Amino acid sequence: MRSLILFFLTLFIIGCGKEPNDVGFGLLPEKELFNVNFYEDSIEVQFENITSFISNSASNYLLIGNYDNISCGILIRFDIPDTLRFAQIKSSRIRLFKSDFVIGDTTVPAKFTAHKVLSNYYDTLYDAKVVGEFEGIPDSVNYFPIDTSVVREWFMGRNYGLYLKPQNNGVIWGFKSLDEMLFTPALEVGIGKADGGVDTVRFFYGSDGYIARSSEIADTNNIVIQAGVGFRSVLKFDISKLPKNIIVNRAEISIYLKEKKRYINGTDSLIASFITDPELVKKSLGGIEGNYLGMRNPLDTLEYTIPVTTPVQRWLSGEPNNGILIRFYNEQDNFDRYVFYFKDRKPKLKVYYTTKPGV
Amino acid sequence: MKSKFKIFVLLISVASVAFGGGSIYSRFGLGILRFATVDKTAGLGSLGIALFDPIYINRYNPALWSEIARVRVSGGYLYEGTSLKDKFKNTFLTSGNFDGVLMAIPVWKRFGLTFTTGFMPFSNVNYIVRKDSILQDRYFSQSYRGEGGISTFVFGFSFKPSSEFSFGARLDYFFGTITNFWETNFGSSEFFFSTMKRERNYSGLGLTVGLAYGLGVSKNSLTFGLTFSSPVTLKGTSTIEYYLPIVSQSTVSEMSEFDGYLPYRVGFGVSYFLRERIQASGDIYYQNWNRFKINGEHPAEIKDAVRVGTGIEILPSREVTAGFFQKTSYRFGIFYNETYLKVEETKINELFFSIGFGFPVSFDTRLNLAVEYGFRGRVDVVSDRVLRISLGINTGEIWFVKQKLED
Repeated sequence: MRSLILFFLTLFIIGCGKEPNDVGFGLLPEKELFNVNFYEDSIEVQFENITSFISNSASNYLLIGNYDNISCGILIRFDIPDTLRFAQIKSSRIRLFKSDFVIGDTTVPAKFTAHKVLSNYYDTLYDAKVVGEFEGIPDSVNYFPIDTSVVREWFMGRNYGLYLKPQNNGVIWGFKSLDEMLFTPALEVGIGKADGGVDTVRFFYGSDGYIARSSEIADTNNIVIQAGVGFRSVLKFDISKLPKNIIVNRAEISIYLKEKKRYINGTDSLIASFITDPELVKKSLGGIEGNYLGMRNPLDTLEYTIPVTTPVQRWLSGEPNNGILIRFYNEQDNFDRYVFYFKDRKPKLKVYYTTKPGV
Repeated sequence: MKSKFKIFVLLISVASVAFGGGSIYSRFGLGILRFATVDKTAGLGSLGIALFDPIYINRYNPALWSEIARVRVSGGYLYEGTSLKDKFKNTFLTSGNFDGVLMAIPVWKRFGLTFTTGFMPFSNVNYIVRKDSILQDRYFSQSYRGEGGISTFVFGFSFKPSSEFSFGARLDYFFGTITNFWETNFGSSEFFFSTMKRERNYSGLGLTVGLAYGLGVSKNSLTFGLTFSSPVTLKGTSTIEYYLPIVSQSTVSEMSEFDGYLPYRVGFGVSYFLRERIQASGDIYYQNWNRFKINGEHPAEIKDAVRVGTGIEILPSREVTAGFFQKTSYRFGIFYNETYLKVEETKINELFFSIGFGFPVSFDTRLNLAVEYGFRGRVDVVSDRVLRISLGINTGEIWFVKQKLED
């Protein structure tokens, strides 16, 4: 009992302590303090707009058409087993289901021609000869015939797929891709039977994707990023004025919006990445690390801030400063285009950092 | 035996609670130097170079172990509350520490040959300072914290060639870690917090020798004590660790070796029996910190230290049949300590008053309770008001005595 009383008395005494404050702070030697500083620069900055290849092969959409300066075509290839090499092909057609994606004038019909891809599927080197075509306001399910001689080649093993080339203007229509779980595209082939009848065989496994391009000429005065067509920008700040031996608490880049064009209601955010190899970045073969989410300043409709704490610390630690790559948060199935000032209002780099004590 | 066990369990359980902070002065040098703050000395102005009795393991003077009659163990726990104040603000910080344990084994009573070993605290670092600031409209808070200290493992003996004279020697192995922390906190997940930690591990071997002359316990008996602790070469490693906002090298460690020089300390004490069971004592203890060095450099804030103190202990009765309060020891003390610190050109001095009790728990066990209250520093620098409450246990057993078997 006495022990318990003693124990609780001790705990009571311990509990009398207050929160520490700055009493005694002045006694700490200056050289042993963490010095917190702020650095801002909007002068030593360079930029370069680049065009990258955006792979849309995982998209649920196949987009086709022309709108504004954007042009979309479709690549599609169906997997065909070699057991049908000598089958008698009576007819062939491709089935496409309409998706909910459409931008532009919906009274303008979808119009495209089909071409045989000549070599590698990804090279988009296609034969000028039209082997099928489609024109019409897309219905829920749509068909267009394909030259049976092309399908015969696929059956024989020379299967590089089809390129669907847009022939309209003012609208981009979306169809469902092979990545959709239901209502996928299909190749339907009528196979002649020995008794004179016809069996319809449907192929719906393979590869597909759409390719979007912009005919826009690269802007050298402003930072332009556009989803879908691969417009990205490289920003490079000179950080040589920052002390080397510091801990970066927060580094952020501010860029200022000049104009924006939105096609669909998507996320209004940017992504920045640390560039490890600028050559690979230009070839769209990687060369970047990390995704740092940049967002619009809620208090300033023009300012977008992108956190770059880790990239700045990496540059200070001796890694090459190749800049950062800025792109849209969602580059797929979206053609939003943002133009940010460069010459008229320079991007800013703000850095909060701590100088380590000299101990 | 059961009650002794309970008290030990209690002390250990309380000692295991890590908490708090203390004086900012512990940031300098090797921290706040510790004197014997448990056991009977706590109530006597933390002195005892000439203090002895059969149940007390002297922490200053090994010569006085010669007076110990039985195998003894003593240890304790110290609570410290520090009110820090400068010209504008104040705060109150608390801490608690296990205050060492000693064991003495008398082997040859006739010649006062007693071996003693155990652990004792030498210095203690325990401070925390926090400051809030704003930079470019951003709030941030900086905190500076230190913890740890240096302890000594001691092993030594006493020898008493005559009834009036004894001498003793002990090896002091210094060891311990002093850790300093730096942190900047921006209070937002958007910011990377700066944190840095420095750990210094110390070790070194020293020798303390002591002499005592007098050793009488009757009225008007006078005893003189003298101790000398040799200089110690401290060696150690210093590790600095900090963090960067980079995944691949988030923790950066820098290690280096260092050495230090702990100068000699010397003390002189006297004790006097005013009456039987009323013992007065006084000490003066000098430490040659002017020669203290770390990595060959003498820190500017370190200087020589001198401590003087006096105290009196009254034990009304030793009779087994006497009442509890008759067998309780009553102690009073005062000491003035010109510490080894000189901060901002101001000498940091201490004045402490103490009161203590030695409660009889069982035939050979005493529970020592002491309360010290004192002042350190000046308000134009930082003024500390310190409350210390110590609780120590001192218990004994008979060893090496053959038991007679009865028919």
